[in-house]
Amino acid sequence: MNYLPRNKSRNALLKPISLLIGLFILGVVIFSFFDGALIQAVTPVWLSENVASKKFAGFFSYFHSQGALIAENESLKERIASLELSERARSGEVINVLGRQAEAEGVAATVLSAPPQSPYDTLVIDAGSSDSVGVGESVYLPEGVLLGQVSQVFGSSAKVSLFTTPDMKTTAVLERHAVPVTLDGAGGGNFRIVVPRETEVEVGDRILSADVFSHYMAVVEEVIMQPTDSFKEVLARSPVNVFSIHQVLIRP
Amino acid sequence: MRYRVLITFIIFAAIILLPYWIYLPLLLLAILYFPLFWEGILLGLVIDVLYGPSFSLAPHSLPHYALYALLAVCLTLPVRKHLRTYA
Repeated sequence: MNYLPRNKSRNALLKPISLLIGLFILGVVIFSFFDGALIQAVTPVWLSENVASKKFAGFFSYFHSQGALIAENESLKERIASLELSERARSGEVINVLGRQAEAEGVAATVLSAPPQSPYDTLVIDAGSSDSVGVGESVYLPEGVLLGQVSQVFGSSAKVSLFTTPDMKTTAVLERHAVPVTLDGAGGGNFRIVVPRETEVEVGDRILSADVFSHYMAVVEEVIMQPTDSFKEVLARSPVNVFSIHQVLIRP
Repeated sequence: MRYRVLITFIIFAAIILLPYWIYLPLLLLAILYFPLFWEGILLGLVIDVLYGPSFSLAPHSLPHYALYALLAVCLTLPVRKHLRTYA
C-alpha cells in the first residue's frame, strides 16, 4: 500500500517524540528520588566556589572601595532598621500579653547557591535535618530581614523559597497605617501589592511581617495608579540584594 | 559526538556555577544546534533538582525546565527538516 509522503513524515516523528517523552518520565521518577544525593554531590563545588569568590572579592575590593563602602552602608542601615523594629516589638506589652517568648537564636547557615544561579528565586543552604532544620521554618538575614521559608530539607542541606518567588503570596503589614496586605512575589527580589486607592502609600514605606515581631520584609519602590482605577499597584523590593546573600539564620 | 558530550558537560558546569541567563540560552542553542538533543531534558532536570521545588509526575508539580526542554526538542524535530544551511 502506498502512503502519502506527509503521513510518512508524521509517522517518522512519532517514534523520537515518544522516546523523548519516555526519557522525560523516567528522568522525573529517577531524579525525584535522588535530588538530595545530587545536591550533596554538588555541594563541595559550591563550597569551593564560595571560598574562591571570597578571596577574589577581597582582591577586587581594593580597587572598588567606593562600592564596598556603599554596600557596607546599606547593610548597616538594614541592621539599624531591623533592630529598631525588633526593639519596638520586644519593648511593647503585646508580646507579654500574648505570653510569647523572645525569638530563639536560630541556626546559622552559609548560602551555597542563590539567584541569579537559581532561576527559581531559591537558596540552597548548608544546614539540613542533621542541624534540626525543618520544612516551613523561617529564614532571616543576620540583620533581621525576613527572607523566606525552608521548602525542602536534606541531610546536610536545605532549599529555601524566597518570598519573592513568582506567584508566592505572603501576608504582611504596611507600616504606615498598619494596613494588612498580600505580597505577591515577582521574582528577582521584587514584590507586587494591590491596595484600594484610598490606602496611603508612599515610596520608601516599609513593609513588615504580619507576626508580633514585625520583621522587615520589603520597601516600597513605586506606586502606580491611573485616575480611573479603584485600586493602586504598589511595587516593592526586598531591602537586601537577593543576588548577594552569603549567610542566613533559620528560626522555627 | 565528542563535541556534543563536551558541550553537555560545559552546560552542566554552567548550571552549577554560572547565572541562569548564561546557561539557559546555552541550553536552548544546544537544543537548536544538535539533532535530537535528548541530553537537554536531563540538563533541565538537573536545573529543577538543584534549584526548583520538589517535583513529581502530577500535572501541578511537573519540573518546569525539563518540560520546557522536552517541548523545545520536540518542536525542533519537524523544524530541522526544513532548515537549510550553506557553507
